[in-house]
Amino acid sequence: MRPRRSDFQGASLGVLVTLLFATVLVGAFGVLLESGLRAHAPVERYGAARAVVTTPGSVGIRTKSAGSKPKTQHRPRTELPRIPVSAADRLRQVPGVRAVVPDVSFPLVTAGGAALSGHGWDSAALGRVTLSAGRAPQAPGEVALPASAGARVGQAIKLQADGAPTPFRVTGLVGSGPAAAYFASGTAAELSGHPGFANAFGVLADHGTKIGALRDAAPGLTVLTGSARGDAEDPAVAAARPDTVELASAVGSTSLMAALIVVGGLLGLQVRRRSREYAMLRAVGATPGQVRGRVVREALRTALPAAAVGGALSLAAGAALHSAMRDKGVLPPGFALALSPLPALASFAITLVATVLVALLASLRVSGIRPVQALGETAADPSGVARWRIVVGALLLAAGLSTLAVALKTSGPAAAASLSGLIMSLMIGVAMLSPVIARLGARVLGGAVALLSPVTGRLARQSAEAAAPRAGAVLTPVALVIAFALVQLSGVATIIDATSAQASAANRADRMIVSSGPGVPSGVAEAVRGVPGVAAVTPVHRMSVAMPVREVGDVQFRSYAARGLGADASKTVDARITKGGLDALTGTSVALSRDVAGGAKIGSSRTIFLGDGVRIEARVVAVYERALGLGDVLLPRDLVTAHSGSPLDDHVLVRCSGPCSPETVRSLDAVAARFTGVRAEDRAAFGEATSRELRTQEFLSQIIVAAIGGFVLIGVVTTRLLATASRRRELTLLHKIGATRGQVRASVRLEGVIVLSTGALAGLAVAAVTTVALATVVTGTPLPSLPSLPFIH
Amino acid sequence: MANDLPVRSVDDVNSAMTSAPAVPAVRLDTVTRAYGQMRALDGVSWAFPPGGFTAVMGPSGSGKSTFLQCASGLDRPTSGTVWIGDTDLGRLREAALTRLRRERIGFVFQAFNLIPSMDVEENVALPLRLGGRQVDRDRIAAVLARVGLADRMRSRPSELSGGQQQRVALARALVTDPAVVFADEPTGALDPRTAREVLRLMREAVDRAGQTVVLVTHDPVTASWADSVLFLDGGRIVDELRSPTVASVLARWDGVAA
Repeated sequence: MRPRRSDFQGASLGVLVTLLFATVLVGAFGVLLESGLRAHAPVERYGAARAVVTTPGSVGIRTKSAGSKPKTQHRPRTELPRIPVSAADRLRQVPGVRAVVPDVSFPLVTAGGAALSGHGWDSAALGRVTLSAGRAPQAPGEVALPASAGARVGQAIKLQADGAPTPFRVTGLVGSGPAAAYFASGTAAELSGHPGFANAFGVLADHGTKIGALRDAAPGLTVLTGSARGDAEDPAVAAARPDTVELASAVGSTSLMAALIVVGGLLGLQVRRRSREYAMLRAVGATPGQVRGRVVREALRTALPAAAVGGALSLAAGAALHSAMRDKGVLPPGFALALSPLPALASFAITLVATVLVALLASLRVSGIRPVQALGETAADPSGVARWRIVVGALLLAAGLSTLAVALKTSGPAAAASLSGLIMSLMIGVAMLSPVIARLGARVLGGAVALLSPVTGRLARQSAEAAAPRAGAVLTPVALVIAFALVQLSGVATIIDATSAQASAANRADRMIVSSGPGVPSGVAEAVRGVPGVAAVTPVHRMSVAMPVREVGDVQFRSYAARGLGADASKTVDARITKGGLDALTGTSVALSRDVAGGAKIGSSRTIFLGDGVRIEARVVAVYERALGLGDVLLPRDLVTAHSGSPLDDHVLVRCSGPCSPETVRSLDAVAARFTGVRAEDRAAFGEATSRELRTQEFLSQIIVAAIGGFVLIGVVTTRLLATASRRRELTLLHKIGATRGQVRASVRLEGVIVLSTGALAGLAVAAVTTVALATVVTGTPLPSLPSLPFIH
Repeated sequence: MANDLPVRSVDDVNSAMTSAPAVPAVRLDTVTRAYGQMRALDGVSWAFPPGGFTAVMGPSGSGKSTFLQCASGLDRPTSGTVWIGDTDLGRLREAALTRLRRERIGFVFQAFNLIPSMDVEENVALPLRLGGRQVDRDRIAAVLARVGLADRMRSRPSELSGGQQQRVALARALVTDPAVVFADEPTGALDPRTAREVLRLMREAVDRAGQTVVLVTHDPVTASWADSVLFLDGGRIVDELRSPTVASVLARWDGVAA
C-alpha cells in the first residue's frame, strides 16, 4: 500500500521524529564503537618499518565461573614496555630482514617548554626521517631537532629529560615528521634511563619477508604490521579502546531503550485511537493476524524513512561526537575516526527491528478489539489495564529495589553495576505501570486541582482519571527524561565531588610540585628533600594496572587507577588505613582499597599486571578506605616507574615541619625554577586542578543527557498532542453541552498539568531512589550532589 | 459457492429455489447470550430461509443488536448453536470464523464504517484483498454499477454524501457475493429518500441475486420493505409478521411495546 498523507500526522510524526533521533544517536555511538574497535594510534615514526615487534597489547587471564566454560579476559597494556635488546638477535636472522632497530622513546622538554619525544638516530630510518640540514648526531652531547623547533645547526640548546636541563649542540635539522628529537643511539639509551632495553623493535625488511617467520623469531612478543604499528608508538589509543567500546554500546543501547519506550507509548496510543477502524476491519473479514500485520506495517512505513535519514545523518553526528570528545580530552589525541557505512547500516537495521518488536507488542492490544465494537455508535475508550503489565511492572520495581539493597551492601564496581541495573528496572517498571500511576496521579493531583479550580479543575480531573491508559503513554517519557537526566548528571557530579573531597582529605602535604609539561623529573624529589623546613617528600607516579578481583563469586579482570608513592608516604598521604601501613610500601608490595581488597590479609599475595604488562605477585601491606581520592591500588613509586614508559613523576607531595615558613616556600620555588615547566603549588591551586581534570567526565554525560533528553521531549510533545487530538470528539461534545470554549481549553490545559506533573513526580521518585543510593554507596551519606550547569566551565 | 459474477441471473435463482432442499441460510438453536446476570438473548431459535428479507424489530434493550451479532458470528453466544448454511459457527476458531464471515457474510453498518484513507474502489475491494484474492476490477466495477456509483471509484469517503457512503458500504458487503447480508440500522443516519434508495438495493439483492438479508431496525418504514418482521422483547422472539406494511408494523409494534 502506498503511503498517505495521514500516515505522517499525529502519532506517526512523533514516531518518525523519535526514531530519527534515536537512529542518529545509535549510529553516532556506533561510529564511536567502530572507532573503538578499529582505531590505532597514527603511524608516524614507524612508517617505513615492515613490521614492529613489541610485547602484546593486552594482558589476559583465564577465568572460570561456575557452570560455564573457562574464558580469557583481557585488559589493555597502557605503557610502553621494556624489552631486552638481545631479543632482536633472532629477528635479524630471519631471511629478508635488512635491519632490526631497537627503539627507545622518552619525554623531553625544551627550554621554551615545548614537549618532544626523544629517540636514537638509528630509529630515523624506521620513519624515512631525513636531515634537511647538518649531519646526524654522533657524540653524547649532540642532537638533531625538527626544523619547526626553530633551532639552527651548531646552536647550543638546553633539553630536559629526567633531570635538570642539559646543554646539547644541534648538529642537524629534520625536515618533516613528528615532534621528535634524535640522539646518538648510546645517548638515547642513557637518557631513557634503561640502557640495554628497547620499547619496540622496528624491522626493516624486503617485501617478501614472511611475517610468520618474524613471529617465530620473537617468542612471547607480537609482530605488528600496517596501521597496528601505531599502537607500538603510543599505547594510549589502544588502551582507551575497551572503555570506548563499552561506553558506546552502553549509551547506544540506552538511547535505543528510551526511544522504544516513547515509540511504544505512541504506537499504543495510535492503536487505541484506531480501535474502531480495526474493529471494522475485523467485522468485514480481517483476521486478528491481518490487523496486527497492518499495525506493524504502518509502524514500519514510518520507521523506514526515519531510519534511513537517521542512519545517513548518524555518520556525520558520529564524526562530530568523536571530534568533540577528542577536543575535550575524553579520548586521547591520536584516537582516529574509523568511518565506514557499517554504523549507518547497523543503526538502520536496529531501528527497524526494534520498531517491529515494539509494534508487535502494541498490536497485541488488537486481540482485545472485538468486531462488535464496529457496530456501536461511539468507540468506548477501553480503560482496562492489561494484567501482564501490572505483573511485569511490579516485578521490575521489586527487582529494582532488591538491586538497591545489593548496591547498598556491596561497594566498588559491583555496586556500580547494580545501580545501573536499578535505574533500568525502575524505568521499565514505571513504563509498565504507567496507567496505574496515571490513575493515582489523577486522583491525588486531580484532587488538588479540583480544589483550586472547582469547575474546570473537576472536569480536568475526571478526564485525566478516565483517560489514565492514554495519559500513561504521555507521562512515561516525561518520567523517563527527568529520571535519566537527574541520575546521569547528579550521579557524575556526586562522584566527582566525592572524588575531589577525598583527594583533598587524603592529601596531607602543604605544597605540591607539579609540571605543566609531561611530568616532574625524578631528580626534583631529591632536590626538594634538602630544602630546610621540609619534613617529608613523596613523589607520586600514576599508572593504570590490571588485577583479577572476585565479584559476586566470579573472577573479573579489571583495570584500576594506581599510584606509585615514594618515600614518606605515611606522612604525606592519609589513605584512612584500616589494616597495615604505608611505611611498608617498598619493594614488590601493594596497598589495596577496601573495595578491591576482598578481605585480603596483610602479608598475603596479590596478582597485579603493571602498566607495561608485567605480572607481579605483590605482598599486601595495607588496606585503606579512600579509594575515590587515591585510586584503588597504591604501589611503591620505584616499582611503578620501572614499569612505565615515562620516568617522570606526576607530582611531588611536600610536607613542611609545622606550617610552611615563607623561607621554605621560597626555597621550594627556587628548586622548582631549576627545572623547565616545574612549579610549586599550594593546596587550593592543586585541588582546583584536580577537580578541573575530573570535570571532563561531566562533558560526556551532558552530551548524552542533551541528546537523549531532547528526543524524548519531542516524543512527549507529540504524544500529548495526539492524546488531545484523539479526544476531539469528546471535547466538541463538552462544548456542545454548554461548556464555554475557555472552560474546555482550561480543562485540557489542567489535565495536561495533572498528567505531566504525575510523570515528573514519577521521574523524580526514580531519580531520588537512584541518586540517594548512589550517594550512599559513594560517600556514605545519602546526599547526592547537584550537577554543575551544562556546557559552562 | 464461488460464483464469478456478482449478480446471479434470475434463471439461476429460480433453479436454486426449485431444486435445492430448504437448508436455512441462518439458523439459531436455543441461543442465549448473557452479560453477567443479564440475558440479552434468552433461548432464541429461528431459521431464516434462503433468499428471504427479514427485519428484526424491538424496543431499545430488547436484544436485537445482540441477536444480529450472534447470528452473524461477530459475537459468540453463551449457549446454543448458530448455523450459517450447514456450518456450525461454535465449532470454528477465530481465524476460521473470520474467513467464513469474509466469504459468506456481508455487513452494512449504520455508521457506514468506510476507511477514510481509502478511495471507493479500495474500500469495496477490501474484503477481497483481506482474503488474499486477486482483485478483479470488472467485478468491482460491476458491483459499484449495481449500487449506481460506477463513476465514483476514485472518490474518498469524505467526498461522498451519506447515502452514497452507505451505497459504497453496501457494495463492499455484496462484493464477495455473500449468502447472507446483515444490516444494523442501515438507514438510521439517512434521510427518507436516500434511505429508500439503499433499501431498494437490498431488496434487489434478495429478489434478483437470491441473497438473504437480515436487517435490524426500529423504523416501521424500513421494516415494511422486508418479507417478514420479527419482534424481539426481553431477549425473546415474541411475534412474527409476514408481508408487513407500515400500518401493520406500527399496529404490532404497539402490541410489543405495551
